[in-house]
Amino acid sequence: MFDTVKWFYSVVGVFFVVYLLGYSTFLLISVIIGALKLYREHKMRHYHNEILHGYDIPVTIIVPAYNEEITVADTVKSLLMMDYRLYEIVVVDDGSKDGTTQTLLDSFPFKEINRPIQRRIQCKKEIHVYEANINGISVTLVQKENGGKADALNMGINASRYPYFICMDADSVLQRDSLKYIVRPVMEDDSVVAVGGLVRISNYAVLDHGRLVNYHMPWNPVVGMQILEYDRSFMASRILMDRYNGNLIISGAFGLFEKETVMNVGGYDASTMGEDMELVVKLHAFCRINKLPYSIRYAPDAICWSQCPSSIKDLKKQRRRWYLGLYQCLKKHKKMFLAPEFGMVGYISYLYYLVYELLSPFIELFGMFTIVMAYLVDLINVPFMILFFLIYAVYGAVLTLTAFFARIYTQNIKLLPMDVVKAVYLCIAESVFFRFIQAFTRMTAFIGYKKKKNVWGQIKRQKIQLNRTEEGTDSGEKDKADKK
Amino acid sequence: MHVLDLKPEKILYIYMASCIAVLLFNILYIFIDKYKAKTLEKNSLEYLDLIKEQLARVENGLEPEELHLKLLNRKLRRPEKLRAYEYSVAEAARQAAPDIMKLYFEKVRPVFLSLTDTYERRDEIEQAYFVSLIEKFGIDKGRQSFDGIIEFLVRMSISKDVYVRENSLQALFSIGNAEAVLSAWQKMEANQRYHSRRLLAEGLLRFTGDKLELSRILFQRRKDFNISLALPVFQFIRRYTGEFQQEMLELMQRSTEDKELRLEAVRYLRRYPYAPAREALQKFIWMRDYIDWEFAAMAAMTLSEYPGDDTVECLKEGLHATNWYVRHNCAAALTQGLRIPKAELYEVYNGKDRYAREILQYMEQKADLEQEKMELV
Repeated sequence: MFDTVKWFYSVVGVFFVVYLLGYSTFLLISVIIGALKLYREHKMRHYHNEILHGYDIPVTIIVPAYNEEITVADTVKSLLMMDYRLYEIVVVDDGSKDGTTQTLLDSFPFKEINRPIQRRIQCKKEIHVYEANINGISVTLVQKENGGKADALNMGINASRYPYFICMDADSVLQRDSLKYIVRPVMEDDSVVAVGGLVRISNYAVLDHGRLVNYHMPWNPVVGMQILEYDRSFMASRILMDRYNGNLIISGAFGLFEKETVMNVGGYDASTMGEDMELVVKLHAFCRINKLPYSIRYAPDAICWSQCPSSIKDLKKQRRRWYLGLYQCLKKHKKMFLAPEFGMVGYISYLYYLVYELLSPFIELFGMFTIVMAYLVDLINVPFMILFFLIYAVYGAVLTLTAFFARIYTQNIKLLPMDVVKAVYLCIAESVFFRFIQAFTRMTAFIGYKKKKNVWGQIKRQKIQLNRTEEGTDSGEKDKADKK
Repeated sequence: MHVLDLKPEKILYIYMASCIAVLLFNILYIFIDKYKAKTLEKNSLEYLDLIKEQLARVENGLEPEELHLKLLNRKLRRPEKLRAYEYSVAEAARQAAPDIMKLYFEKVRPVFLSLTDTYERRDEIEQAYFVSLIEKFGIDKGRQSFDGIIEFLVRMSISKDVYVRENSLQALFSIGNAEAVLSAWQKMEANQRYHSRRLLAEGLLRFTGDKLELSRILFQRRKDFNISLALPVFQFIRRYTGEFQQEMLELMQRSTEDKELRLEAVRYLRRYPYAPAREALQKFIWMRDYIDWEFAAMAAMTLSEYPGDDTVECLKEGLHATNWYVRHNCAAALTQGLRIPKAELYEVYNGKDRYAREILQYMEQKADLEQEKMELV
């Protein structure tokens, strides 16, 4: 009997070593490839390797909004200031219960218009359509029946006039030069069907008319840890996956898509919580099955500033939504798993998200359980275990710090010594605490799943200050409201 | 051997050491970058006095000094020096007459010719930079013979790096040699290295030589090229010359031609209306069971340039089309293109077809809205 237990622990031990080393190797390769790519891009800028043309690709910016009366007008104002010549804005009010539409009607010279919208992709019906022409930019406001974020985006696609569209969140701010950078991969390569931008956290950044003027690391651990987490994700793993055309996620906060291809795959799936990921996975599947030459790219120069949750409660809400979205998406596209026709997307990207994102909470829970049991039967080397986890935690912190500094030099950000101290402290905190919050949220995500699976899942918003956006300043102007 | 014998903690130590190396590199690079920026600022004009001296010689009808050419030949092999030279030239050009600068670059051409060997072996970023300077300095501008630099640019036009390709094509367009452009097109075709169609079409418009000759040469050889290379030629021709109306009409009617090229021909006939095309364009709309609705939709927009009762009747018929885009474009052509008054569209506004009515109403409102271009307060 004891031999069986020993054999079981031996197998478990091997599994966890392979599991942790697999993850560590992936992160290491990501960080190295990410650093090399960012170094290369920096050198390219130094030697003016850029496409300079008088030609702009026409782009529609779609802003889906649900109960966004606090931020939506400022978002549209910020979009009217973009350094780009040929774009239109389509705001879709998804049956808000607050005054989202009224705020827009009060802020801009909209006129109601009887515009027939061809619903080439399925979405709920429009109630009113308004149009305005502001500074030569066409702005359309579609008020529709409530159908969820994906449904609102589908309406935006149907109402768009241009061959490419950008999806974004109503509480985000696009950096003034971001359109120029996000269309660059499309200019370079005709087969590009989607481009993801870099999402950065705006809570502690100071923006002036869409340009970054000041940036510092916060003491708030909830925001700080997310800043580092975003750095690691956007500056490392997305760059690695981009190398083999294997990115499965383009953040809903900022992405560019070719309209025709998106229409061919039926647009966003309104039945999933992770509609942004589902669309990208669907595009991979569609193009690969039909053997179409395609490319899904990532543009780290195209920056969108987005608010992140600043309380644990909101953070848990957001992560739960992301996790369930991941589950629904991977379940829907399970055929991709290790399937040869999907190439690296099936062998690496899908496998990574399945093992290290979807199953990780259960694997970690199982790990903790076996550690306790092993301790009880005296089958564990406690000092070795502590040492191993310490090394692992320090390694995680060093990795994050590496991604953090890669961003600093490539984006010419000036840091104070105190910011570096904060970054080190937050890296350790992230490695030790954030992981557990994340794991707990994921483990409990399925509670109430059926009831809440299609809600917008909003978090506390604060007013966007176009000329100065920094959490903790100008508190008098803040107009916080719990949208939930 | 058991997997645990591999000492996983040691692997993690190695990983951590690699990571720390990258981290140190990043931190070090922040400082190196700052230092480099300062050095470049300090050295950016290091060639200015030398260039000014040579410009003075050229202005006086003398050749640049041999020593100057030798120095450039030696120093410009380093990209950082090439940058300093670029800045110095920009500064010198502010004070010198353009024809003197042109003459100066004709004299330093051998230096650039010799540098092509060096930069052909460099990484793509440096290659792209070097090639961009050939265009910027106008080296070989107007040259008709294929000797050295043009051949180098044609070779670079099939680089796997998009920036090298783009810069070398831009340099070829700026030289203005139609045969050289054709040669680049043939090389891309032979090597199946296809550049962005948008960039090619835009680039052709920047051709500094005889554009008409270029359009004729490329149009004649269009069948030799894949659609990725042929379509930009058509787009260039559409935006440049109305000389090809007859050819475009024939091409539009020939069903064996590529669909994208035929659609481009329809667009061409919109920009350069051609009376014999009228009937063929109307036929696309009268054909109710569309084999391909895109021809009907495109023809509707094109017909806005062919006024007449027959066109109005045809577009009114198109308002009842089953395809949304055909209806949309017919309405746009009637209201915005031909500006047909509401009274003349009475039977549509009061007819039974709700879709036709709605699209016309929308187009009318839209036209009103476009007139009220309001400024954001």
